[in-house]
Amino acid sequence: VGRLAHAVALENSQITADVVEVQEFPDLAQAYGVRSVPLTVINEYTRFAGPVPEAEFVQKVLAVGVRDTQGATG
Amino acid sequence: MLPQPVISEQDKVQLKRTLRKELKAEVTVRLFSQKASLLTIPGRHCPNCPQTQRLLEELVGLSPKLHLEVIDFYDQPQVAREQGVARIPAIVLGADGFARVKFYGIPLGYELATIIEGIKTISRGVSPLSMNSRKKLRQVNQPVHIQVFVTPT
Repeated sequence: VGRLAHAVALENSQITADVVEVQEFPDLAQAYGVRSVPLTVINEYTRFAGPVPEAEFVQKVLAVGVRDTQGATG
Repeated sequence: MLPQPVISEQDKVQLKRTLRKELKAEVTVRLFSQKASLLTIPGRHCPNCPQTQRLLEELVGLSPKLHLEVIDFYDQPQVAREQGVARIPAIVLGADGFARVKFYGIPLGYELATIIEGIKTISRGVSPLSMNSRKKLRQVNQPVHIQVFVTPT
């Protein structure tokens, strides 16, 4: 998932991706309630555990990152 | 006594071959770290900074196209802020002025592959993602910040 997140971030300048090694930053792990890894958090509120396929990961990014200015369904 | 290499000799041979084959443009890896000091200042202890730096020195030593820039987090807080670096050790990948991809901690084992994959993507300008994913990601028009929490494997 770390690799996927980085690849996704390199596609669009709106996207940034951090991979965090939790054993080194227990404060962060605690703040995000990390109980299992990998855990992915997108814009603080979308979160999912475990590895996901690329298409699903991209879909989750789109759900957060696309706002349709035309008001049509996206 | 010399410190043990972080990347095994066997892995180095393999990596050198991969990098020679796969890298095109030069890539600078930025490490936000802390200068070695005899004094430990409370709240400024970074036990993994020296090993992370050694790991990256070994990595960039495997290809003439790789460069390492080490930035002291405490001496250059404005650079850290510009690049959105909040803690150390932090590895930042990207061309100048774009720090969209970061790794916090020491990338051991499988996580080193994450760094190498990012380097390859930047160097070649070719994404490992499918055309379909890439097309969809072009629609993103709001800031998206992804955090992935991992443990070393």
